[in-house]
Amino acid sequence: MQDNKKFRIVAILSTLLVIFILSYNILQEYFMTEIGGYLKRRIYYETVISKKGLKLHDARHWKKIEE
Amino acid sequence: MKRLRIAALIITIASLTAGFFFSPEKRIDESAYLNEVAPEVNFGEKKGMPPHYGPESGITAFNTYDIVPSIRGYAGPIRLLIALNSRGDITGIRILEHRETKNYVQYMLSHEYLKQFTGKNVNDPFEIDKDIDAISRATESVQALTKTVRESSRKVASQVYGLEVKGPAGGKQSGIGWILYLLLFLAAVIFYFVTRKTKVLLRSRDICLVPGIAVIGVYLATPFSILHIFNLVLLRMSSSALWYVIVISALISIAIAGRFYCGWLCPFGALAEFIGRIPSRKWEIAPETDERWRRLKYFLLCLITAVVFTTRHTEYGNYETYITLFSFHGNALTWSLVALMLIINVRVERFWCRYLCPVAAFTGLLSRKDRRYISRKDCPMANKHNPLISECIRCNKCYIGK
Amino acid sequence: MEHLERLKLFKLFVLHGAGLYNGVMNSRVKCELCPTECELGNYEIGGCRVRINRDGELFSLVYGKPCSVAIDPIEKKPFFHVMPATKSFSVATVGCVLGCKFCQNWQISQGRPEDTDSHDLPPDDLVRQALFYGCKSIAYTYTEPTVFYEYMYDTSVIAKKYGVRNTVHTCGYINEKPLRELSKYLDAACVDLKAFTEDFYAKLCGGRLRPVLDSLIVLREEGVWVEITNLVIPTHNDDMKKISEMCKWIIQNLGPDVPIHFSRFLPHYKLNNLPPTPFETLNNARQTALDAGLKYVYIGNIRSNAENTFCPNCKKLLIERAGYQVTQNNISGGKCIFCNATIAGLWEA
Repeated sequence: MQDNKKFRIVAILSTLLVIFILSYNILQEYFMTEIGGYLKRRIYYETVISKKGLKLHDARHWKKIEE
Repeated sequence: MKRLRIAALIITIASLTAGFFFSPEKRIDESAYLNEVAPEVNFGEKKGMPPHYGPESGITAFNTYDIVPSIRGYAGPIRLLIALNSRGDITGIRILEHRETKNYVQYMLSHEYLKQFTGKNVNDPFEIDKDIDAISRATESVQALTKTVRESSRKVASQVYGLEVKGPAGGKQSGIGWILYLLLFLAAVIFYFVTRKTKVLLRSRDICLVPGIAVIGVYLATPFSILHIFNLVLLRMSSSALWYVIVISALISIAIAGRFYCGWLCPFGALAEFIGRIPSRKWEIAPETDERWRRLKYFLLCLITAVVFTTRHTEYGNYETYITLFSFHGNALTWSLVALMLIINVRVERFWCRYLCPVAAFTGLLSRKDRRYISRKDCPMANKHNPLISECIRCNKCYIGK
Repeated sequence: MEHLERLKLFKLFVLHGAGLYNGVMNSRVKCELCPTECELGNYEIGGCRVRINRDGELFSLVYGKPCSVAIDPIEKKPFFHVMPATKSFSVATVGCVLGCKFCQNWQISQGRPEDTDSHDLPPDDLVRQALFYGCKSIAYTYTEPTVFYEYMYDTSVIAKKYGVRNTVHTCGYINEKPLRELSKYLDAACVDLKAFTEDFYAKLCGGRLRPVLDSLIVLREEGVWVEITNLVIPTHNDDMKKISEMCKWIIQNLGPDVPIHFSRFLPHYKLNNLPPTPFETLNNARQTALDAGLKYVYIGNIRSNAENTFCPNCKKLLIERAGYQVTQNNISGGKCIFCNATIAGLWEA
């Protein structure tokens, strides 16, 4: 019975792997690039820009004047 | 079995229909511009592998996204329609779709800029600042555009016209590949029928499996895959002879002997079986558990069929270990599956073939009943007595003749 | 009860999840400041390298952070018809809306704020310093002032209050609305009209010509004093036909009083395989402009007689310059002291 249990674990694991592979196939084009790009930019911001002590100033000022 | 077959058929038809309505292949859009890249040429339907129009009166046209979908610009692939003549000269080019920042690439999209590509040969260098003009602030987009044109037209020139091209364009499409495959297949068929007559030559199966690994796996790197069938159904036929040999031989073998391919040719199955022969204790799996899990492969096949036919993206359905292993192309997930599927054979014989393989599911579904395979204790698939024929890989060990 | 719990979970994961996704991933912002109109994803920085979208809000990274501050003669901008022989408090931050391959200041114009050393100089301090050093004007120059629009705008408002003139040296690559808003506080603008072909702007600058021409017209309409600079680059924009076309356009749309400076090109940045512009070419360009009917045509970046201002009426020497130094000035009250003809410009400080 112990064998059966081990088998079940392996079977579930491999099924999950297959499902992950399939979802990765489908999602990478749409989401990975977007999320990946976002994370890259966010990390760059947090590690480089925010350390530089640049203060962020609202850049929609002129639009608000216009309105 | 009957219910499964009907379910698979319904799913195939339903997803094909859904795909027809929800993701038309933009064939209409493209063909509207065919005229622009190749005036006065009447192309038929897009066909072949790689998908292309023509060649009609010496000119072929193609959508670069069909050929090199992975080349990305700043924000995504740049899709172009290119016309190529039989000498490998670009005769027309047009941008179909892109997602670059509009105001950076305005000039790149203009006729003045694109016309520098027309008249170029596929073996020209296509290098920015050398034979392609750079555009300030649009470097990445221009690079992607140039690379797309270069790679896709080289690929088409080599695969449609059979021209010699620079760089890694053609893949292994060399002349004798299909002959090797065909010889191997015929040898396997002959041995299959011989072993049905006499038990003496049972070892001849190994004689087929080893070249299977060497030729189909390592040398040609094109094991029969469910994607072959998907492409066939979607009418995306390749122009290479090898492709036809693989698909037709697979279909014939299914017709005469069900999962014959799995037992006699499949390089991954062979690897799995050889690893499984390492003398070691196998897990004892309860017959009902085993039987339940064997249905998993049909479920997976139906799943990828639905996904592929609805989205019309064959690459979405790709989880096959032999593709990863032999084409040596995959990510961490697919490689871990390969590793698991190889190692587990020590404890469970042909794990992949029994529970997961979509080709096994496909060939199994189409197997004709044959009560002469009764299964023995040394069954390479660890089948129980009198198994379903869809689980039999026709090693002929247990074949009882009449 | 169970049903309610499930509903809660559904709301938490599905709705909030979607909201989170929308908040983080889909908060795209379109910057409408310059005609590039970058559409920025979250935490994406625009093509100017100084404007960032953070969670759906657009921020300037260079406000009050100039990388270059200097006191220059106003002739260096070059303004030849604006308060001659006065000092101009010049200021610039990093960043540019274009990417010209021949940029002279590319180290700062193509730099990033996070890589460049900058000063802390808020708008009110800037005006205070300009007043302290006796500068009659503030010049937003060196790089492209459009990129530090907010900084420039706020400074201009304060400067105007204290009677300091505001001048910009710009490529004119800015959208109409922000330009009109700024023009209320602007006294003079020196616009780089880099060439008169879309091709040149596309290939060498990464921009377009049309918006620059539109900006020139807007500046004119808003009553801002305009001078034009044209860098003559051998083989790229030294076609006299195009120069003549450009001058005609200027006369038609801006009038013949607009001074034009033909500048000598010196190899810089990515365009260093070309020779410097020969004086002859510049002189030809000057003659072409004069023939077209422009009244004040100068040659810059090279010492010559063509740095001086002559009265278009009596042809006498009005302002003699040696480099950026004014050695003689015969204009009084905006008029030629010899023939009393009005000379266009902002002559009184």
